[in-house]
Amino acid sequence: MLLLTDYQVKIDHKTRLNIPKAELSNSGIIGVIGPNGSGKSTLLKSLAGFLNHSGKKQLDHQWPSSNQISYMPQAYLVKSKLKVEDCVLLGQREQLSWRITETQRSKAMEILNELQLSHLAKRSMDSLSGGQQQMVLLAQRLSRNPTLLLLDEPTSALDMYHQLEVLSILQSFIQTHRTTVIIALHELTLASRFTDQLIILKEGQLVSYGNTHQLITEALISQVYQIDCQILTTHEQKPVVVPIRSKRCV
Amino acid sequence: MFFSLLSTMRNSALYRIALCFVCLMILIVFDLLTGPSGMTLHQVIVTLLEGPNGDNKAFSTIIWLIRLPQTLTAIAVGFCLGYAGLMMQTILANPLASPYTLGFSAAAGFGAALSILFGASLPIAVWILVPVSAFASTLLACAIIYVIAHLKGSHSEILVLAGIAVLFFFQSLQSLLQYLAAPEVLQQIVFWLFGSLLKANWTSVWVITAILAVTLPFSLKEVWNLTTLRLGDDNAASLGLNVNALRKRIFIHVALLTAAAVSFTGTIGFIGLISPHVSRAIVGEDHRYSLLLSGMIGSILLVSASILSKTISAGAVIPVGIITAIVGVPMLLIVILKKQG
Repeated sequence: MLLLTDYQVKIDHKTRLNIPKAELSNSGIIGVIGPNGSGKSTLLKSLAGFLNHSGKKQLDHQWPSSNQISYMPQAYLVKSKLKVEDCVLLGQREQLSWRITETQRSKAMEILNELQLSHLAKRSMDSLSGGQQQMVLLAQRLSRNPTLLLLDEPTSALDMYHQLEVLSILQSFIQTHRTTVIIALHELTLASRFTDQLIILKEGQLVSYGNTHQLITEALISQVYQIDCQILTTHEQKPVVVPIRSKRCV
Repeated sequence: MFFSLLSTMRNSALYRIALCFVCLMILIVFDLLTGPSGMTLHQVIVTLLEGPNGDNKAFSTIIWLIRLPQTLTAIAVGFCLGYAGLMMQTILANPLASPYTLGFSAAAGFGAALSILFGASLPIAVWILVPVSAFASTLLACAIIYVIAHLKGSHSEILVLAGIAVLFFFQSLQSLLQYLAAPEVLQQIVFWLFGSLLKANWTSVWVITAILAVTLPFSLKEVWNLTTLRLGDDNAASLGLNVNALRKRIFIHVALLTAAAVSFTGTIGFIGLISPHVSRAIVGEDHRYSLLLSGMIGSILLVSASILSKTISAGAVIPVGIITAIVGVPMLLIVILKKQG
């Protein structure tokens, strides 16, 4: 159970995020959606412990300690020439000493395999594309076996194949590990397909929270995003959000 | 045990470091051989083996009181600058940074100039007073930046800005002292600023070694933290690293090492800037290897410069600070050309 009560984040004395109450079950992926500047990143950052907040945050009985939380900030280019395998190895930073053990190396390779990235292992980070870097950094965070995984738009630089790939890897990861995943997404169709529950934010205020299929409605989406939209259904009865025009155009 | 050693030897980074070490050893021998007295290799070895009180008084004086302290100082100072240089480039995430970026050399220069100008009136020998004063004012510069970093957070932009302020502050103070100084004193100050191994003696060797011995164990514990920092502040922080605290700790190490290096020899430029680049080109960014290698490259550069400074013109020793760039530029060019190819 993820429970936020009177949860507020203030930056320079201005309230940037206000969630009076949100209560979500922590099975499956929790998505955070909302327009630009709605406070998605602020929420993830403060949950990760990098921003101060007031109010309560609870995950099951107690909030996980900082080394049980893996947070991945929004993508920006890593300029280091560090090799991909070494970069993933840094996920086990706290355990590393002068000699890297075989177990540590194979753990890193395993996770690279799982994300189908092993062909990149010897490449340097700065030679990868933004999307590849994003995948490697995700591998690094997953290798920490976190209790809580916070991902800020992890699919922003990925093509469609890799977007689907990453999100389904996450889905299977939480089935094998007891991990709560909270993920900020811009792409609503992806959000409605892969998340089980949603937190919807607008201008720093909580709009709604709950089960994804109940929240993805034309009325709510058009109100939050200021757009006219239509919601279609795929063969598997999953919603697809089709944006039509911004409300300003009307 | 033997097999595990063998398998480590195959690790290419260690192999490359070993090659650099051999290279350094050869250069050290050459440096000991180079000098106006024309001693042969055999004579040098015999004198070294006989110890400081050898039979041939002239030879043992040359080796034990002049050449050996100079060579050892070159190794130690080069190591300090190369080692501190890499740490500085990593914590500031800037390939243009060097141990001098935050104004430490300007501060040392000011301290030295101050003591050269007013030291005569104090009852302390100049050869002690000048390094002590240079060391103290370097630490003063460090303290100023530390306070600013403490108040405003030690982001690399803040450190660099504070460093530039400190740099210009001490540089103007130094210029002021030069302006006030009489011509003979001015000459001494300028000569100090050049950076020269002629000031080396056993005291400098022991003091620099002691500072290295104290700081190295602590900074070597940070190798993985420094490597993590290469992923950028946000990534490093979300891997649980306290980025600001790390910067402050490393920054104090850099200040101590730079103060140690600069106080006895004056400002020797370029080594702290170029050694990290060469080191990274050889072993990559894993700080387990690159940090020590960067120090070793610093030693190689400074010992090479020392050999060159003694051979360029017979009889006169050109200050090594002038030579370092001449030795370093080809190495830097190789690194740049290799990168593009």
